[in-house]
Amino acid sequence: MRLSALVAAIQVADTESAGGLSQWFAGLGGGPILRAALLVVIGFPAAYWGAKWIRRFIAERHGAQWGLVAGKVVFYPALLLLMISVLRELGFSLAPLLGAAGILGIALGFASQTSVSNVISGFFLLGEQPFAVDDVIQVGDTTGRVMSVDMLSVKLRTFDNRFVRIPNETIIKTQVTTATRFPLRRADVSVGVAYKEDVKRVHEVLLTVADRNPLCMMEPPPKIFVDGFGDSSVNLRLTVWTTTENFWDVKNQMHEEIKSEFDRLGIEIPFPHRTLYTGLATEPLPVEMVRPEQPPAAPIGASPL
Amino acid sequence: MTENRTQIPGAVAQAEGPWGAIDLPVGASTELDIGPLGVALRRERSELWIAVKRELDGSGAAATHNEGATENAWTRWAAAGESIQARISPALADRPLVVAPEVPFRLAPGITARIYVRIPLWVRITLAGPTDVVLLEEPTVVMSDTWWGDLGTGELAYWLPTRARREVDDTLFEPHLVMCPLVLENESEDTLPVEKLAIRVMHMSIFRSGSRLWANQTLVRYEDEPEGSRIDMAERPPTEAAGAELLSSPREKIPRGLRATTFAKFKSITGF
Repeated sequence: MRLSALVAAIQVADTESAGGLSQWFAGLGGGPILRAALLVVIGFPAAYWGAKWIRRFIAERHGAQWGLVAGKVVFYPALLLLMISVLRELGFSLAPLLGAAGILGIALGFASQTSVSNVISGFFLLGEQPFAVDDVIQVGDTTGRVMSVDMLSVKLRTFDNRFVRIPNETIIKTQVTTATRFPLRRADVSVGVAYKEDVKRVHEVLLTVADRNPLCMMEPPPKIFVDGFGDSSVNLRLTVWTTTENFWDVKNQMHEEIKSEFDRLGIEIPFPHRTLYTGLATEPLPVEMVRPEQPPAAPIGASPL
Repeated sequence: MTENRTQIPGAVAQAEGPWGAIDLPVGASTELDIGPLGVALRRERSELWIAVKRELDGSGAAATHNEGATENAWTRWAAAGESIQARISPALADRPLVVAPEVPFRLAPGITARIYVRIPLWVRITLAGPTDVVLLEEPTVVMSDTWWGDLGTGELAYWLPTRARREVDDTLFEPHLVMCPLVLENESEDTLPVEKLAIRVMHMSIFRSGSRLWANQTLVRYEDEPEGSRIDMAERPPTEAAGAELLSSPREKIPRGLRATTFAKFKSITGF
C-alpha cells in the first residue's frame, strides 16, 4: 500500500514540478538530448561548487568534520535531483523506476545489513565525536591521521603513508585512542642504571636534564618513579609533559640527552652480559683478524651540487 | 651591559643602540649583540641573509637551534632594490609568562606591593617597505614551556624565574631585558601567597628611556573571584620612566576590563 501511495505521489509531483523546469527548458528549443546535456553541464558544476562552498563555510565555523558532512548532505541530494531531471528530459517516467527501485531497495536492505550497520554507526560517530578530521587515532594496531569520517567508514593515513579504511561499525565496537585530543601529553622515558649508582644522584641528574630542555613543561613538573629492580639494573621512569605537537621531539631528545649526560658523569647504563663457551673450557676462543673493507663510494647527490 | 654593534663599511645604522633601521646596500653586512643573542645581517646581491647565535647560559644549557652563526644557521630572504632597509625592534613574548619568585612571598589582606620583573625580549627583524614584512622573531633567552591552569582549561605559557625585586637600580638594566613594574593588590579577606603569577605580556608595550627599556605598569587586583583577578594595564610608560618614548606596540590590543587567573592556586594538575 505504502509503495503504491509513494508512486502515486511521485507521479503527481512529477507532473506538477515538471511544469516549471521542463517548460523553461522546452522554451529553450533543441531536442531532449540537448536539454539533458545542458542540465548536466550546468547542474553538475553547480552542485559540485555549491557543495564545496558549503563545506568550506561550515568547516570554518564548526570544524573540518562537519564541513565534510555538510558538503555531502548538499552534493548527493543535488546529484539525485539532477539525475531525476535528466531522466525526465529524456522521456523516462520516474514512477515505474522508483517503484522498481523500492522493491530493489527492500531486497538490497536485507542483503546489506552490514552496510546499514555502518551507516548507523557513522551517525553515532558524528554525534559522539570521539575524534575529528586531522586527529591522530589508534584503532587496534593501526595508528594514523584521520582523513575523513564518512557514512560507511573512517579513512586514515598511517605515518608510513598507507591508506587504511576502517568500517564505522568496527570503530564503534573497538577501543579507540585519540592521541591529539588534549593539548598536552606526557612522555615517559624508561632508563636503567647499575646497582652501584647512587639513585638519589641519578634522580637529580634526570631532573636537571628535563629542566634544561625548554620543550619540557616546568608545570606539570617532571617526575621520577623507581619502577623496580631488574636483572642487572635499577629501573627508573622519568615522566615529562610537553605539547602534543612536540611529543615525539621531546621523547627523542630526552633519550639522547640522558645518554650523553650519563656518559659525561660516568653513570653506567648496564646491559646483560653474555659469556660464550666454545665447548672446550681449556682452549681459547678462536679469533680471526679480518682486513677492513674499503668504504663505499659516496652516492651521487650526497653533497649539494 | 653586552650591547655591541659591529659594522662592515656600507651598512648604515640609523638609530642609537641595537634598535632601529639599518640600510644594507649590496655587499654590506652588520653584526649585533643583544645580550646573549647575536644577530648577523648580510646583503648578497638580491638577497638578505640573516643568522642568529646564542651564548650558552649559566647552567650550561645550549641553544636548541641556530646554534652558532655557522653557514647552516643562515636564512636567506629574497630582496629587491639597490639598497634595502632592515628594522631591528624589540618585542615581548607571544604567550603569557608564568613568573615564579625565587623566594615566594605573601600579601596580607588590603596590602599593595610593587615588584619589578625583568623580562627577556624577542628580537624582531622586519624588511622596511610600504608594508613592513616580519622576517624573523627570535627570543634573546630561550624560556621553558609551561602550562598555566588545569589540564582542561589551561593555556600554554613560558616559565620565568625571577627575584621579584622591590626596587630597581642602574645595574639591573640590560639591552635584552625589559623592566616590568607590577602592582599587586590583595583585596580579598585572605592572605595571598605569591608563588607564581601569570603576566600577559602580549598586551604590553615597550618604552625607551635612554638605554633603559620599560614595559607598561600592570595593576593586578586579587579579589578571590572565580573569574580571576582584575588586570589594568596603563597605556603610558611607568612613573619611573615618565616621558619615555614608545619603542614597540603590544602584539595584542589591551582589552578593557580584563580578568584572568593570575595567581597560582592549582594543587596538582596531573592528579598524582
